[in-house]
Amino acid sequence: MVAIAAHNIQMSFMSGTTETKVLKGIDLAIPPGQIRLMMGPSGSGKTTLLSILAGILTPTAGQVQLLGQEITTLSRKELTAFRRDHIGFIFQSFNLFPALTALENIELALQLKGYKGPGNQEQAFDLLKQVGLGDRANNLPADLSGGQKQRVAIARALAGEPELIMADEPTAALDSATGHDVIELMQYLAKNKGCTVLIITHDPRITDAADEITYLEDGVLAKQSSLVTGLH
Amino acid sequence: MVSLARKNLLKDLPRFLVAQAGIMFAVSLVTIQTGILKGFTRSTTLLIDSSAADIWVASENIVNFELTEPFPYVQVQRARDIEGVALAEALTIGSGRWYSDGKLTTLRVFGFDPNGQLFRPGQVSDTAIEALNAPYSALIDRTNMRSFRIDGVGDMARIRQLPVMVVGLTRDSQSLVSSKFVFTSLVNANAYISSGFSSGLTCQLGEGDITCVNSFQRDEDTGNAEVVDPEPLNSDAPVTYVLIKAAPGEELSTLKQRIESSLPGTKAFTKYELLNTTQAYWQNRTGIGFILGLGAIVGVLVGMVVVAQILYTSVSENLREFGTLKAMGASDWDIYSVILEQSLWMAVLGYIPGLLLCWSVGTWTAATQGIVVLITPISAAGVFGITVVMCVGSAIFAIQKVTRVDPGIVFKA
Repeated sequence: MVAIAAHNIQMSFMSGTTETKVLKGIDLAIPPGQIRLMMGPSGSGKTTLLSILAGILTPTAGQVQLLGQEITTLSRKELTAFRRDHIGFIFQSFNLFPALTALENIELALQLKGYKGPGNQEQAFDLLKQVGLGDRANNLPADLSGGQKQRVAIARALAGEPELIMADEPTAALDSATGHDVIELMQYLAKNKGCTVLIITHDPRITDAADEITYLEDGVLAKQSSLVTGLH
Repeated sequence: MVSLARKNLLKDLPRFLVAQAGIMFAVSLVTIQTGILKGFTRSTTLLIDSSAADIWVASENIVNFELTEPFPYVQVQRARDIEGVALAEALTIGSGRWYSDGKLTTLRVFGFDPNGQLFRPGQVSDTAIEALNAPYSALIDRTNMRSFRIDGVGDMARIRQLPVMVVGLTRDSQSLVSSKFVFTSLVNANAYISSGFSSGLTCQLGEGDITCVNSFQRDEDTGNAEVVDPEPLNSDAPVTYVLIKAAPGEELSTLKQRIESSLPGTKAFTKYELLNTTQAYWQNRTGIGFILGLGAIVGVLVGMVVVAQILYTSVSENLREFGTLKAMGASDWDIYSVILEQSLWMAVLGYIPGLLLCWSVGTWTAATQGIVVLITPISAAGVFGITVVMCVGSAIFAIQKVTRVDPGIVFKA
C-alpha cells in the first residue's frame, strides 16, 4: 500500500478573470515509513501541493489517496476528521498556542483527538521527553528558543501517533545546527514510530535526512536524482 | 482538561479587565434599573404588605392605594356587623402641610387605630404605637427626619395650624412616589386633615328621602389661641379604607361579595389584589416602568457591544491559532466552543463583581436615601440569564469570523 498517492493533481486560482495554474498535473507516490523531501524554488507550488495532500485545499482536478483512502471525494467534515486521526503537522512558524505551556500544547492536541482524562498529561509529558524537553514542560512558547519551539511542535504532531507527518519548511526559522538537530529528531522519531514524513523545504542542509527527494518547479515534478547529486 | 478559551482570555489581562468592566456596567445597569423599578413599586405598597388585614374595603372609584375617594366612618361600624367579619378598623388618608423651622413640607397623613391590630406602619415599636393615643402625636419614617427637620423623638412641629410631637420613628414605611408620610391616630388624623376647615352637615327632606351634604368651611386664623384636643370621630367623618380581618375558616371571595353588597358604593380587595392593582398602576400607567425598562435595555446593548468587540478582536488577533486548530482537525464545534466558552467565562466573571457592586450600591442608597434597589434571588438569576444570553449572543460575530478562516493561513510565515 502506498501511504500518500496523488494522481494528475491540478490546481488553478482565479484572480478576477485571470486564471493562474499553480499545479499542472502532479503524480506522486510515497511508500509507508519513507521520509520524502519536496524541494523547489519559491512559487513552485510546494505549499499548495502540501495543502492538497493534507486535505486542506481541494484540487481543481486529480485524486489524492492517503493510507488507501480517497480523500478528494470526502466532505469537509470527513476531511477534518481524517486529518485529526491520521495526520500530524509541523509548521514553519511553529504555530504553538502562546497562552499554553509546552505540555498544554501537546495535551490540547491529544484532547482534539479524543484522548481525555488524567492519562493525557502523562502521555504529553512522555512526548516532550522524547524530544528532549521534559524539563521545559511548564514553559510558555515565549520562553523557548526557536529550536525548542519546533521540538514542541514535533511532539505535538506526534500526539495520537498519526501515520502521516506533514511538515512545511520546518527548519526555515532555525539556524543550521538547530535545523539539523530538528531534522535528525524527525528522522529518528519517524523511523521509530513508523510514520511517513513529507517535508516541504528549500533548505539544502537537510537533504541527507531524506529517503527520497522530489523536485517541483513551475507546477510540475522534475526528476530528482541527478539534481540531488548536483546539490551535494 | 486544557482550556484554550480560558487561557486566551486571561493572556491579555488589561484587555480582559476592560471587557469585564463593560460587562459589569451592563450587569449593574440592568440590575439597578430593574431593582429600582421593583423597589419603587414595592415601596408603593409597603403599608399594604405590613398590614394584618385580609380584606381592604375602598370606594368603588379607587384607582390605586393612595388615589381613592373617602366614605363615612359609619361604614366601619356597619362592616363589623357583617357575618364573617372578625375585626373591622378604619384607615384614613389625607393631605397636609408640615411646618418646622419656618419651612413647609407637603405630607400624607395616615390615621389608624393605635389600639387595633390590622394596621402597622412598617417596622415600629409597640411603645411608639401606643404613644399615638396622645393628642397631636405622630410617627415619621426615619428616612424623612431630614425632610421634616426633626432631630429625634420628642421634637415638635406643626401640621397646618395644629401642633405635632414626634413620638416615634418607623422604618420601611415610606413610598418613593408620594409625599412624606406621617402616621397618627384616627382622631389626630381627622383633626390634621380637616384643620383650617370647619365641617357641617346639612340635610334636606325630599320626597320620602333625606339628602345630606357634608360641607367644609375655611376657619378664620385663630393665631395663638389655645389648641383643644381633637374631637372623636363621628359617623360622617371621612375614612379611606375599612380594614377587615376575616373570621377563621371564612372564604375570602365570598366574604368580599357579602361586604360589597352590604356596603354600597364600595369595592373589596384582598390584600394581594390591592397590592397588585397599585403596583400595576405605577408600572403600567405611569412612564416609570417604561423609562427604567429602557435603561435596562440600554445596559444590555452596551454590554453586547463591548463583549462583541472584545471577542471579535480576540478572534482576529488569534486567527492563526484557529487556522492551526482547523488544520489539526478540530471540528467546527470544537472551534465554536472555544469562543462560546470565552463568552461564558466573561459572563460569569463580569456578573459576580457586577452584582456585588449593585448590592453595595443598593445597601448605601437604602441607608442614606431611603431608596430601595430591590434585588431578589429571582431577579438576580434573571439578570444572570440575561448576562449569559448577552455574552453568548455577542459571540456570533466572532464565530462568523472564525467560520470563514482559511486553514491554509497556517502555511504562511
